[in-house]
This record gives sequence, structure tokens and C-alpha cells, in this order.
Amino acid sequence: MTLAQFSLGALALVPLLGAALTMVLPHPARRALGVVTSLLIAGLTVPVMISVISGELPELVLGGFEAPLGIHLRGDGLAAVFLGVTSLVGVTITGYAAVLPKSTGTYLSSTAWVPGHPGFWPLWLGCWSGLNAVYLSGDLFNLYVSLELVGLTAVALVALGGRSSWEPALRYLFIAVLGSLMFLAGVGLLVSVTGTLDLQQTRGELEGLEDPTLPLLALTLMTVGLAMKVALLPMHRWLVPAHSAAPSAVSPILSGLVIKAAMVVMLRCWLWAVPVLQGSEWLAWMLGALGAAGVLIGSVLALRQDRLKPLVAYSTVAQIGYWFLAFPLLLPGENDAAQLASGAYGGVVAMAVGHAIAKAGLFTAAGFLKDRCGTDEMSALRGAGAHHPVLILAMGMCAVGLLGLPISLGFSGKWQLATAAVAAEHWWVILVVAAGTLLSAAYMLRGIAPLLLQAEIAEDAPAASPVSVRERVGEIAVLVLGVATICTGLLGAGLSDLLEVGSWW
Amino acid sequence: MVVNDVIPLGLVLLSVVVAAIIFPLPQRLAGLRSAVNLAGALIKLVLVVLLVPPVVADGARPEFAVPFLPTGGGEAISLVLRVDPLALFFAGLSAVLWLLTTIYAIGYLKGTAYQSRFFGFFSLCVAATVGISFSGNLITFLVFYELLTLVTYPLVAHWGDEKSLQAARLYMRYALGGGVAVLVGVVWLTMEAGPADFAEGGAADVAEFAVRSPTVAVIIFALLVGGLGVKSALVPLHSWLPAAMVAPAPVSALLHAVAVVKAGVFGIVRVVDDVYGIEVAWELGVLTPLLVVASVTIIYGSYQALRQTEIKRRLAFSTVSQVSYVVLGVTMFSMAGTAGGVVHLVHQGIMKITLFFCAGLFAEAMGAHKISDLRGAGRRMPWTSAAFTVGAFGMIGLPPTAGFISKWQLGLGALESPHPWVLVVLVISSLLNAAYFLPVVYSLWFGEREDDAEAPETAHEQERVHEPGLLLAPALCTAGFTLIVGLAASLPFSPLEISRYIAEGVFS
Repeated sequence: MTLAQFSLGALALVPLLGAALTMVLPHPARRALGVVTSLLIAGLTVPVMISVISGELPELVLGGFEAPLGIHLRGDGLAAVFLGVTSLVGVTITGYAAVLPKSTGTYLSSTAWVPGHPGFWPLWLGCWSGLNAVYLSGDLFNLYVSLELVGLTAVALVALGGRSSWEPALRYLFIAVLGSLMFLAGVGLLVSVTGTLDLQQTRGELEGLEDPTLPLLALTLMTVGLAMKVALLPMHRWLVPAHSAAPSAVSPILSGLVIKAAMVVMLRCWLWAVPVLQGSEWLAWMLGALGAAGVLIGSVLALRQDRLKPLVAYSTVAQIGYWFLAFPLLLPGENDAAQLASGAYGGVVAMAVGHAIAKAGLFTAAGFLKDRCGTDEMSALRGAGAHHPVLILAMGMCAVGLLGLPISLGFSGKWQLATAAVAAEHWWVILVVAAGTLLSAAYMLRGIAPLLLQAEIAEDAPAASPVSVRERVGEIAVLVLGVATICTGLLGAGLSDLLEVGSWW
Repeated sequence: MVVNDVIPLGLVLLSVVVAAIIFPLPQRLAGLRSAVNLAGALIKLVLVVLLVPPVVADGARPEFAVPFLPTGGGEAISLVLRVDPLALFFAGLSAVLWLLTTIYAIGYLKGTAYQSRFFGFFSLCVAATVGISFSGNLITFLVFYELLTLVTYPLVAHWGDEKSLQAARLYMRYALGGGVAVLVGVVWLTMEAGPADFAEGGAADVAEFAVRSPTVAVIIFALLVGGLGVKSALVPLHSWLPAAMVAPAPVSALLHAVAVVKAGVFGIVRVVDDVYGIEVAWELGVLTPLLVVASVTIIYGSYQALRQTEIKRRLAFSTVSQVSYVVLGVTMFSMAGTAGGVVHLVHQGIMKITLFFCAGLFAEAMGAHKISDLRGAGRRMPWTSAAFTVGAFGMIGLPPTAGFISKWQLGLGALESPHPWVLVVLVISSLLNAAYFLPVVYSLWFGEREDDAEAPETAHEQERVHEPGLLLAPALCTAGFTLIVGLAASLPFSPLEISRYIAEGVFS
């Protein structure tokens, strides 16, 4: 067993082990173990990434059960990219939560609500284990199981926010379970046709198939289920209350990472499991149209918010739209252009990765301000920037990434999407991207500009209490994500090379 | 030469590093902050000066490239920083003026809040400007162009009151709108003709593409120039500029002289001369409409300036008018005209920054914001008034100032070019310039204050006002440059000689 193979298994199991251990530890020790585990995971990511970058495809069969039945872990370009970004965001958020424990929620002690929920640590590590397993899974059933793990822990994480977060969490639970069930139904249909769960074998079986009706139905079921979990418009209603009611350390995880898990499964299904089916074009077009609607409607709704966290959450809805905008370009049609499809695919991944980093930073910053000022009403946050220049700078950097301005992966992604759209002569994509960019500039400005205001209100604002050292360190976490947003912008070309490793063409 | 190749990158990073040091500095460490700022500015100036001999005399083109954007299958598009004479010309201007503006800003903002933030973004702004000047292809240019928009926003909004934020928002709307147009143009051109490396005489791929599909080439040209025209305040895209006058004086000075407005025209020069190439652009027939727009802007800006009663707003409209001389020069399709346009990049910069320095001084020392407040200021602030007078004479184009050289060169160009009527535009605009600057200069030196009723007050007011040294010295320096550049225009390495060299490259 090579180091990379060992790491594949460890990436899924170490966080699970960490989650189990933190459950029996006293509270301060949970934080320490959480930080150690997160660093360990980041360390384990390195050999997998190195091996994939050098062009290998590490593979591990757990328990010795071979393909149709067994548990296959596979590392390829897509997995490596998302493992990397999850480590980066995960370690940063773990550090933030460890330094500012009150950001992990509130719990009801015998007397009152106490800030800082110890349940955060096992849940977050469990969620991380699920995320890694989603990226690495080589078969449909494992995808389902890991996705379920991610979804359920995420729901519980939302509920840590105290009484006001229980209703959004319950709503999220219904959607997550319903989405999983539809996905599972789709998987069941596929297995009834192909007789295998393995992604590559499924593709092989389907390619020889005459009648595409059943696989098409299965793909539709899986797509709708996953779209619910990703929160594609019009299935986005659960996202905004859940992401904005969640505790400060949880919102960035949800918005940055959790919805990406469902997105990765979506890409795996469309690009790996199912070959281009007759009649699947309308589905792709449907997704493209919903994506365009998401970009525009999500941005307009973001523009109408008065509170910072819902604004950031609606911006996620808009960003999700961009990823689906690429679906009509994603399938190599009969006039071929695998190049074109690879451009669109690279664009989607670049935008999703850029979004993971930038949105995690922005949500952390919004949560930080909410914790500190007691509210995230934008009118009450006027002038808050005066005490937190580093935070504002970091938010600006994250905003660059979300707007898709250079230098950021958001820019690379939009570039690839736009060039693929021009090559395919789908001009409407360009229009949507341009309109979305302008709208997002408007809502970002609306969110950040009041913080810069130096009105007299700033003097008697409730935030006048001195900023503690811990809070300064917390600001550094946001700065790390902001700087990462900009620096990863230089990796666009490398990212697209990396995605070629183990891609389906 | 390996060492030279790293210098362009070093110049960009230098300002970023300065910003990174300054941002976390607490407010009270004013001395350290000023030292870091000045050290950065000086090193930058030295590095730029070191680049002049190899690039201009030996014809070296130091270059730094790193792969940036993936293309469908082919080679990735690179971020390219390359030093050519035009790049060096612009970078030199920004290096000199950054140093002076930094000194001025240290004096201007002494004792006010949020200085670390101000100087941090100020440095980032310079980093973006240097990046723009050294950009070796359209993508790189776009990257730094957008960056410039973002980092100037907090500078315009610096005072943090409603008015500043409103102006900043207006600026952002205009600049991002223009940015999107440029982005679309760049994406389209890159799809059609590859990454469009800047080359003297135009990029070969673009020339080929212009022959293949001239209509699309014209549309792309319109998108690019239209987008760039927002920052260079071409009429009717200029409204943000007078509004942005609420910013602190050093910011206005920098915005007008080197950074934002200049980035726009510099981009237009690049697109016309180094992307399309002047010959191709002429054959496409896009130069004449642009020339007309520039002429309209020149006249309209001067006319609006005449109507303003506030000093800074009059200067703002004067910028609208003056910057278009550059566009006028490069679009009139003659070598002398191109040289005149390019040299005006520098000349307008040093003259306009002098005027803004002085306007800031008047406002700080006497509280004078309106032109009527300036009556008799010559006796109370003689040095400032002298510098202002030099700048104003330069703007009108009187010898022996830099402005005279520009206008002379542009006039020569107009006669050589297929559009001799441009000479009329130059004459009318000079008359208008004189009409709005001469009365100011007159009232500076010969005006009397009107409030005779309060005689003791008047006696007191007539006394000399203290002119702060940190603010005065930069203004006197740039006023001096205005004269020196005008007098020594035909010496080697003078702006005029370098711009002639550049113009020869364009027409080669």
C-alpha cells in the first residue's frame, strides 16, 4: 500500500475517529483535538494531491470487496481539487472556532442559554469525514451514504444556533431527506438496469444499452434530488434561513463546503456515471435555464436584504446559478468539441472552488460582526469597519472573488465559461454572466459600504468595547481566506490541468 | 538580461509589500508609516530610472510571464509584464508623481484618522498603476485595470460621510460598467485572435483578424474604447469625475494626473497603437469617430469648466478636456500627432497635479473652495499662487511651459494629418482654457477682497498665511518640472524625445 493509498482511506476515517473521540472528551479538550485532527487531515491531503498532480490515479479497495459490491475509494483530479480546498477552508474555520468558541452556537444549561456549543466538534468532524468520502467515492451507494452523512450533520450543525435556528434546521432536514430519497431512488433504478454500483462499470453498461428511458428517468430523479441539496432555484427556499440562522462558525462550512458535496455528486453523475443519453439534452437545458434564473433572481433578492447574513446567503443562491449555467455546454454533443466541454467543466469547478474560499471568508466575517455587535442589521453595522480594518480588507478580497474580478478563481471560472459559451455560440450565457456580475457588484457594495461609513454613530455604537486578542486572531482567519481568494486566482491554469487527470474523456 | 526581467515584477510587488506593511500599523506610528512610504517611493523611482538606458538606448524588452488562464486545449494565456518605452514612460511618470504625492499626503492628512487604511490603499493604487503600465497583453491590462477600480473606491470614500459614499458609489457604477465592456471586448478578441500581445505597430494576429472580419473587429474596438472611455472621462461618460472631487486633495491629484483617468487613456493608446496598430485602425475607419468624440470632449469640457465656481470642480472639467488631447493625438493618424498625444500623457500629469496640489493648499491654509475666495491670495500665499500660475499657463499652452510643447506638437501633427481641422479645435480650446484660467490668475495677483466693511478683519486677512512646507514643496517641484520640461524639450531622454521615439515605433 502506497502512502497515497493509505491517505485515501485515512482521509475518510481519521475525521470520523476524531468525531468519536471528541464526543467523550471535556469541552476545552475537544477544541484541541479538533485542531489536531484538522491539521492531520490537511497533512493527509498532501500525498493524495501530489500523486494526482503527477498523473497517477490512486485507488483503494476497502475490506477487499471487489467492484460490483465493494467500497472503492478513487483519487482523481476532481477529488484532489476539492480535497485541497476543503482542507484549506476546514483548517481555517476550525482555527476560528477554536479561538472564538462562542461562534459555535449556544446551548441551554440548567439556568440559561450559554454561548459556545460543545456539540459543534463531533458534528463538524463527522461532516468533514462525509465530505472527504463524497469526493473519493467510486461507487453510487457510497456517494449516497456519504452525502447522507454530510446532510444530517449539517442539519444538526444549523440547530446549534439556539431556539431561533430550530425551525430553519427542521426545514433543512425535510429537504435533505427528500433529496437523498430521490437520489437513492435514482440509484436503485440505475442498478436495476446495470446490475452494478461502480461508477465506471455503470457507464460501461449504459453505453451498450438500447433503450435510454430508464436511465434517463434515473438521471432525472438523481438530478432533482441533488438540485434540492445544492439549492438550485426554485428549490432554494430552505437555504437562506438555514445558512443565516446557523452559528458563525457553521454558516461558512454550510455555504462554502456542504453544498459543494452535492455539486460534486452532480458532476460525477452527469460526467462519469451516465454517458450522453438520447433525450438528456432537455434536462441540461432546463438546468441551464434555472441557473440563469438563479443568477438573476438570487442577485435581485440579495439586493433587497436589510441584514448582512441573508444578503450573503442570497448571494450563494446567485452563485449556484453560475455553475448550472454551464450545463448545456458541459455535454460533448454530436458536433463533439470535447475541448469545449472541458472548458465549461473547468469553469464550473473553478467557480465552485473560488466560491468555497470566498464565501467561507465572507460568511465568517458576517458572523463575526453579528457576534460582536449583537445584530447583523446593516443599518446598525454602520461604521463598524472603523474598529476592524483588517476584517474589512479581507471582506473586500472575498468580494473580489465573488464578483469574479481578477485576480481570483471566480474570474478564471467566468472566463472559461464565457469562452466556452462564445465557442458554442450561446451568447445568452455571456449576457447572464455580465448582468450577474453587475448585480453582484451592486449587492456587495450594499453590504460592505455601510461598514466604511464613519458617521458619528460609530462613536456611541454598541461595538465600542475593546477588541480582544482572540477576536483579532479570528479576524486573521478571515484574512487568510481573503488572501487565499486572491492567490488561488493565479492557479487557474494549473487547476484546469489537474482536472484533466482521470476525467471521463 | 535576467536581472532586468525581474524588475517589472519587483516594481509591482514593491507597492504591494509597502501596502502590506502599512495596513496593520497602528495610527500613532506616523513616523514609521511615512518612512516606509517614502522608502518604497524612492526605491521605485530608482528602479524605474535604472530601466531607462537598457530599454530606450539598447532596445531591451525585459519580460516576466506566468501562465494564468487556461484555454480550451491550447496553451494557457499568460500574465505578462513587459517593459517597452511607452510602459516605461508611464511608469516613470507614476514613480515621480507618487513620491511627490506621498510627501504631500503625509502633510495633508497629518493628525486625521484612518491614515493606515488611506496609505495602504494608496500603495495598492500605485501597484495597480505600475501593473497597468507594464502589462504585456490585454488580459494583464484588464487584471490591473479592474484592480485599480477596486482600490480607488476606498480612497474616494475616505472621509466616510454620505456625500463621499455617494460619489464613490457613482464612481464604482461607472467604472465597473466600463470594466464589463472592456472584459467583454477582451474575451471576444481573445477568442477571435488569441491573447493579443502588445507589439509596436500592432499585434499580427489582430491585423489578420481585422482583414478576416472587419465588422466584428470594429464592434470589439468600440467595446474596448467605450469601456476605457469611462475612466478617461470621454463625453458622455464623464459625470463621475467632477463628483469624485469630494475625495481628499492628494487622491484627486493622483486620480487626475496618473492613476484612474490616465489608466483609461493609456489603455486607449495601447489599443489603438499596440493591439490593432495604427494602420489597421485607420483602415477599419475607427479613428475618425474617436477623433470627433475627443474633439467634442475637449470643447465641452472647457465650456463646462468655464461655468464652474468651485476651484476643484473647474479643475475636474479641465481634466475632462485636457486628457482628451491624448486621444486626439493618437487618433489623428500622423507621427507628430502621436508623439504629441503620448507626450501629453506626462505633461498633463505634471501640470494638473500642480494645480491640484495648489487647490488643496488654498483650501487647507485659507479655507478657499470657491474661485471668488482666491481674490488677493497672491499676497497671502505667494509661493502657492506662483506654482498655480505656472500650472495654469501650462494648461493654456503658453511658452515656455510643458503645455506649449504638447500643443505645438499636436498642432504640427494636425497639419501633417488628414484632418487639418483639428487645428481649429486646438485654437478654440486654448482660447477657452485662457478664458477660465486667466481670470483666476488675475484675481490671485490683482484682485481685492470685497469685505471692506470690516476693516480690522481685512487688515488681519491681508497678512501672509503660513504655507505648510510638506504641501508646498511638491507643488513647487511639479511647477518646476512644468517649466524644465518645456525648456529642455529637445534634450535626449526628455519626455518629448522619448515620445517621438515611441511614435516612430508605432509607425514603423
